[in-house]
Order: sequence, then structure tokens, then C-alpha cells
Amino acid sequence: MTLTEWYEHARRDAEHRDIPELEVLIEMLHRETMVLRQTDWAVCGTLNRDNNNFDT
Amino acid sequence: MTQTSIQTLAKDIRKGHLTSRDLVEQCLASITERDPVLNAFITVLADDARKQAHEADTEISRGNDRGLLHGVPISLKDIIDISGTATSAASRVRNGHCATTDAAVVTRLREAGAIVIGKCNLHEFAFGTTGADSAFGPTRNPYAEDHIAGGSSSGSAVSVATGMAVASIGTDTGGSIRIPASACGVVGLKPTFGDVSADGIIPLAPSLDHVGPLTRVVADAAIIHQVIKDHRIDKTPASAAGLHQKHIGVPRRYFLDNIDAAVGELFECTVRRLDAAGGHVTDVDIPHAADTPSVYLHTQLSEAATYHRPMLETKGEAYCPSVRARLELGRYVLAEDYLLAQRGREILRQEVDAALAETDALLLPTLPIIPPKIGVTMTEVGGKRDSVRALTLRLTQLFDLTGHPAISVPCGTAEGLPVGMQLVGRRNETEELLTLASQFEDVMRD
Repeated sequence: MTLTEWYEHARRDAEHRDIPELEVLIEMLHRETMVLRQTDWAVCGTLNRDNNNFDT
Repeated sequence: MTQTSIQTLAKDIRKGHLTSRDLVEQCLASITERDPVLNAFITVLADDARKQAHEADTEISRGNDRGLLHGVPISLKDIIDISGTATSAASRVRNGHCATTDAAVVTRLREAGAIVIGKCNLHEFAFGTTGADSAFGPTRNPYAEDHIAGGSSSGSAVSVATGMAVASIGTDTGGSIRIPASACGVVGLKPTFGDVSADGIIPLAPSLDHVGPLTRVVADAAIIHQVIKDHRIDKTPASAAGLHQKHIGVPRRYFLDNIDAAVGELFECTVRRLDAAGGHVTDVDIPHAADTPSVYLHTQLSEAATYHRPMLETKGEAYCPSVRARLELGRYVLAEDYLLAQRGREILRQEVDAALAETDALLLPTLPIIPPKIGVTMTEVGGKRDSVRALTLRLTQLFDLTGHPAISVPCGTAEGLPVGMQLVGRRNETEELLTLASQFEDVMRD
């Protein structure tokens, strides 16, 4: 499922929920999910190798 | 009395200048006088507190001294279980609840002789940063009653700021100890993740939930942290060394990009004072800092929705509407995005570790704005309009994601409302952070 498909599905679902604030919040979640998915998280590998003090 | 430290109170009790009963009566008098307006308490345990105070005075007089917290009245955020008492979470969803056991943190406090004076109001289920959405009505800021007290541990902060309690225990998932501490002019400590057990506390997001104290001074936070952590020690952090030669990192990019001018001025004044005290203040960078809100949102929403799903399905109407809507939102987060957020979280943790590798602590404001009026949901900072929720979380939520200890220390006022500055320490070094924060507090007082 693409993010656009997810958004359309979530928006349609929210319309039937009778929770007024939900539609605006789904719009916000859509924006934040785009940010999350577009961020280059691959830099992690480089950082991990350089940081010997890191413990999980 | 509202400024007297635990150490001083403990000394006065042992010298016979003060009794635990006196202390409890002073707190109860403050509650009677101010709580009808401020709304900090959901339950006041007056009879129990008086009884425990009498027992504490008797024990101390007989030489059975349990340490600095013995006979000291403390309040608890009302998501923490006390056996035989309702844990309301400030929600109608919890109507009829009665806890059957004490939370782990309550057991520790009782063993140390502390007296629980009552249970404090909060943003419903700790899911909010204003303290305005509660089944028991909003908590009000003691400095300006039409302004928010900050949340979610709103009543805890107000109880400490007004002398209704000597200290309080709160929880911090995105800033819920530090935000109200800053807004009400008290100290708020979020320890390293896992330092303090969350057993017997209603979760918000278990991988983000931290338990910690709100206090009058940093030394009090150190005393309480030692008690609720794993063992009791009767000492306060050393402050004689001062801040000389300490390296303080300032993460300017993102964190200081969008803050109220008055808060910015106070922050720069704080940096100058640290510099004058011999501290080395340098800029540091958290490369992915701007991605923090998306990582936090996907983590927190998913975990909160998981806990609340059964109640949402059977008692949805009983929640405050705005809290219910955000809990329902968590049910739309996809598993792949939650997992991607965990990858982002790991990177952020490494980046904060890297920033702290060559510094003793990070320094930044706790809140980028002055606490707004109750009911305000959007505000403008630096010509940019943003939600109060997003702004109040902006400088605190990163350290819940990464688990680093962070403390908010009062550093003046702007427009008559308190402003706190935040120090962030290395993971698993909460005590070291407390020592540095105590030195910082001394410099700010001079």
C-alpha cells in the first residue's frame, strides 16, 4: 500500500467514526509519515562504526 | 516554606524546631487556601497523612530515623497506584477503580518514611502537555491563573510551587515532568530510562515512560531519585567544585531556531553566566534533530493506542474528546512506520551520545514559549504559527526517545511566568547530571 493509498483509506474511515478532530489529525500524521519515510536513515551505519562507546 | 529544601526541613525536624505534623498541616493549609482555584489535587489524603506524620514524629523521637525523607509530605501524579485508593488518571474511563497494591515507587517512598499527602491532577492519561484536558477540570498556573501549568504532571508541579507538598512524583513520556516544572518554576528530573521502576503506574508509551521527581531545588531531586531508584543514600550532590572547566554543549540548530524572543534572551543570558563562571560553552549538532517529531509521533501513538484499545472500544465516549481523538489516531499507524521510527530513534540516540562524548552536558531551554493561556491551541513564534502541543514537546521529546537523563531548572521569568533551562546528561549518569545541575543552580542564584 502506498502512502497515498493509506491516506485515502484512513481519511474515508475517519469520516465514519464520528470523532470530529480525527480527520485533521490524520492529515498531520500523513505529513509526519512522509517526513519519516523521506528521511535518509541510512547514515546510521556510518555513525555506528565510528562510535565505539555506543551500547544498546 | 515553599523554598525550604528537604535537607533543611530534615535538620529542623531532628533539632526539634519542626515536626512532621507541622509540615503536613502547613501543606494542608496551602491546599485549603489555593487548591480551590489552582485544582492541583484530585484526592487529598488528609487523615492518612496526619496519621503517618504522627507515626513519623514518634519514630524519629525514638531514634528510628529512616533518613532525609522521613516525615516529609510528598504528592503523587494520579496515575500512580496507592493500595486502597482510586487511580483516576484524570479520566472518567477509570470511574470505580481502586488499586489493590502500591506502585513500586510508592513502596520505596514509604520505606524511606515519606508521607503521601495526596494525588495530583494531570492531563488525562498523561497524554497532553497543557494539563487542561482532565475529567476534573484544568490545573491552573500559580503565577497567572488563566495560563496553563504545563503537563502532563500539572498538579504535581503546582503542588510543589505552592507549598501544597514538599515534592512530587511525576512521569515523563515526551516532557511531562520537565514541561510543567518549567511552567511553574520548580525543578523537574527525568532520569535515565529504566532508572526507576514504572510498575504500578498506568503506562502511556512503555518504551518512553520515565518516572521522576518534581522538587524545589536540585538537591531535593537528588535525594528523591536515590530513594526511588534502587537504594537510599543520605547525601546531596557535591557542589563545591563549581562549573569551572565544565564543557557545556549548546545544540543551536533546530532547538533554538524557533523560540520566543524573551525565552531566547534568557537563554543567552544563561550562557553568558555559565561562561563567566568558568564553564566552556560550545555549539554542538544533532544532525537528525529536525526529524524528532516524526519519530516520536509514530512511536508514542502506536504504543498508547495498544494500551488503550480495549477502553476505546468499550468506553470511548468517556475520554476527553481531544485525548480520545489522538488515541484513535494511533490505530492508523502502520507497523512498517513504527519500525522505521525505531530505526530513526537509534540514530538519534547515537547522535545525542556523540554530542555528549566531548561535553559534560547539553544546555537548552525546556520550553520554547511562555506558558500560554488555557484553551489556546495555536500560537505564533518567530512569525511562524504552530500548535501549542508541537511547540511544548519540541525541546524535550528527543530525550525521551533516546533515554538520556534531563533536568529542568528554573532560570528567571518572562512576562511574569517562570522559564526553565534544561540540562541533558549522558545515559546511565543521572547522578552526574544532578551534580552538575546543582552547580548550575548555584551559578544561576548568584
